[in-house]
Amino acid sequence: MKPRSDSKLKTLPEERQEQIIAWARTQKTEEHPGGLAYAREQLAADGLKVSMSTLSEFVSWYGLQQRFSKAASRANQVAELLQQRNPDMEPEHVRKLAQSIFTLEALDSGDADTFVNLEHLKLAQDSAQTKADLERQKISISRQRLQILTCEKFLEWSADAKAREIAEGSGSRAEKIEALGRAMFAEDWD
Amino acid sequence: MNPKQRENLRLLILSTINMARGYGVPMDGIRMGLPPQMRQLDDDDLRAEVQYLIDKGFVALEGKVISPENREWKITAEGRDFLATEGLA
Repeated sequence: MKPRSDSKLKTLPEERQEQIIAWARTQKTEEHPGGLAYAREQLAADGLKVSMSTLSEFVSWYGLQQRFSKAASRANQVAELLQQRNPDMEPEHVRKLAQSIFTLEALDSGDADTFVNLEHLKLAQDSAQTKADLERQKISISRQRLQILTCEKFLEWSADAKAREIAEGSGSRAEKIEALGRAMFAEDWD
Repeated sequence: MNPKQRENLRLLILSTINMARGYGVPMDGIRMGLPPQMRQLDDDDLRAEVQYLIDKGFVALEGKVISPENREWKITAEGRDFLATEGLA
């Protein structure tokens, strides 16, 4: 199969591609034209003839390749870091975060560091949320225990003649509470 | 766009997605891999070509998305093999 004209340069070894990019970035001087024309001259001298459009496309392709490669590398690093710091995090969640990092870096539309910090903040908030939920659960359990205790005491004291006498007797509500308290808890009431 | 240009566009899209090394590439990223005259194409036109590549098994949708504008596409093993046979990978 005849190789495509644009694949001539794209499949060259990395160091050769770097050399072409260096030629293409060369400034014009009295000795040579600089830029793509200079790169084309150098390639031709090495026996590789390419059109200006092929060369131009290669330069764009190389730049994007580098950009995407850097973005993928950064995303991989972040994924590894997230997994290390949060071993319980679902791999699917890590993968999604890494994809977001890649997209931000590749499009250069955001600051990946900020994104990572936000994600850590979110994790911290999730953790704080969990703690708050646990506290709420503890309070709920304490309240329930108090209610049960109250009911138990009611059953216990409703059968008690003295308590019934206080409850049904005259006096204000505060006086009845005071009298019942003393009857129930004795010296602990004070 | 003539058939040759269309074929070239599809190859450029596939090559661009391949650069992401397994990550999904959004529409803006795909556009970055196209020559200036092709960057002017509508999202719908580009999506139609991406859909063609999906139908061929060369490209897959990355993750679950609700909004079409948030779609990202990644290359499949078949897509990489195809680029290799074309001398583009």
